[in-house]
Amino acid sequence: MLKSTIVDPRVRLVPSKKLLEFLDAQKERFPEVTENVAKIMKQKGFTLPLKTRIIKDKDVACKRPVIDQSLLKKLTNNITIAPEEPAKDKPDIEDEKDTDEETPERKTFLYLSDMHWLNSTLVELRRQDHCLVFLHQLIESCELILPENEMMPRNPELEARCERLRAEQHNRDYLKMTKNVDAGLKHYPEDTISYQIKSLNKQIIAVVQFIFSVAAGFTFGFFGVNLMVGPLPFGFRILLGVIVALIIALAEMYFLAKKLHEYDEVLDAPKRKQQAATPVKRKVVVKPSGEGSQVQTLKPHAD
Amino acid sequence: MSHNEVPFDELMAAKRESRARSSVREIRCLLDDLHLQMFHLMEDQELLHLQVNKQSCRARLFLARTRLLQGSERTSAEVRLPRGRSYKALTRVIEVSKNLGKALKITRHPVEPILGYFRPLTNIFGSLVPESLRLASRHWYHCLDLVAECANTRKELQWTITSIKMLQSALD
Repeated sequence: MLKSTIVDPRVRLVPSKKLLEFLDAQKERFPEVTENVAKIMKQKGFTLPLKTRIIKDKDVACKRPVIDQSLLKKLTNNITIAPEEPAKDKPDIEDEKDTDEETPERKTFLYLSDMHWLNSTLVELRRQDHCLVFLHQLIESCELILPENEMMPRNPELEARCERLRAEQHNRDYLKMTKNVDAGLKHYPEDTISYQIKSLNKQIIAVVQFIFSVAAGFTFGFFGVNLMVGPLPFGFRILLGVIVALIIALAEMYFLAKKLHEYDEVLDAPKRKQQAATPVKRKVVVKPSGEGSQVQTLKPHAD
Repeated sequence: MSHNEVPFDELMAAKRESRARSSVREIRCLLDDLHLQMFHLMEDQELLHLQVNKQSCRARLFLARTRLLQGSERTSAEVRLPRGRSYKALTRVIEVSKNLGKALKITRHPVEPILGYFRPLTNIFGSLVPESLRLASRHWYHCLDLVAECANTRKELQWTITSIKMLQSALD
């Protein structure tokens, strides 16, 4: 299975029995409820009064709370936390047993917008002296689920192709490493005179080409412009010729350096008999993937 | 024994009780805010991770394309830190103090030719550098900023969790 990217980066909370019972007990006092909370309550068998308005998630104000730093410092001044013991597998608390009975697909979650709604509702209820419950008391029994990567099954054709390419690359690296160790390469092909002369030939041609281009550029600047425009002072003609030759020299130098470096790369890899035959062109049959299928489809590719 | 002393003691006890109650109330309100802040920071961190992943994958793709077209020898330069002389990094990570402790900040300095340093070759022969390599470089730059932001968010999250634990122990 291939780990894909995280699709939903939202933090989720599985509502505990305690939270649901509190919501059921106070539902008469809710002027409005978020869509998600209403859906959860309906699923759990709690009915909301008709007067309760259902609001969308985007209508909930999710403003970040401002932490009173001075108060926090004052309260935590003399408190030190003891180092925690390594986490052990804890047995499930009795209250949470009912959540284990649900299948993963049917699990319902609370999101950050629902938390904000719950917090503002609790503030209002406390202000009206209906209850003295705080948000952290309700959510401490809830299970927190962090965003997870999606798992996608890998295409077997793609996997096979990747394996083959990886093996080829490893072979190439191995040959490069054992170039001067392997007995099979006792007689280096680059030791023969014909090979040396051929590569020298190519390089000489490239350099001569460069010289000719520069000379042609100078000739154009010196004679050509004079013929086109008319008689010009000698010094000016020299200057023109030098300028044109310089521009052409700079451009040619770049391409020359590129070409000469290519030759260096070719010399590094030793020449061997082609052991593996070139891959036969396979018929690529593109099967359209079914709707909702998680398997990657391979595009037809010519090797 | 005068009758006036008894109501005064009761008044003081009531005052102490109400002060303790309001202090507990303050702690609980602060805990609520910290919990919400913690959830916000968790989501921020996940989003930043996704962005970092996306940017670095994009940059790697550009680099791979350049290597395919130009060859691997010429595109990625192996940079070694100078051994003989002292050097100054152009991009540095520094710690700045903030309300929640120390935060990381990336600073970028220009090259000082007066001190004998010279600008990288890409700026002189800029047109000769492949476009995909320059794009990859820009993506990596942005990646660096995102990574610093990610580290700062994580520090803030750690601080929030620590504060929650401290307040909970204060309540207990």
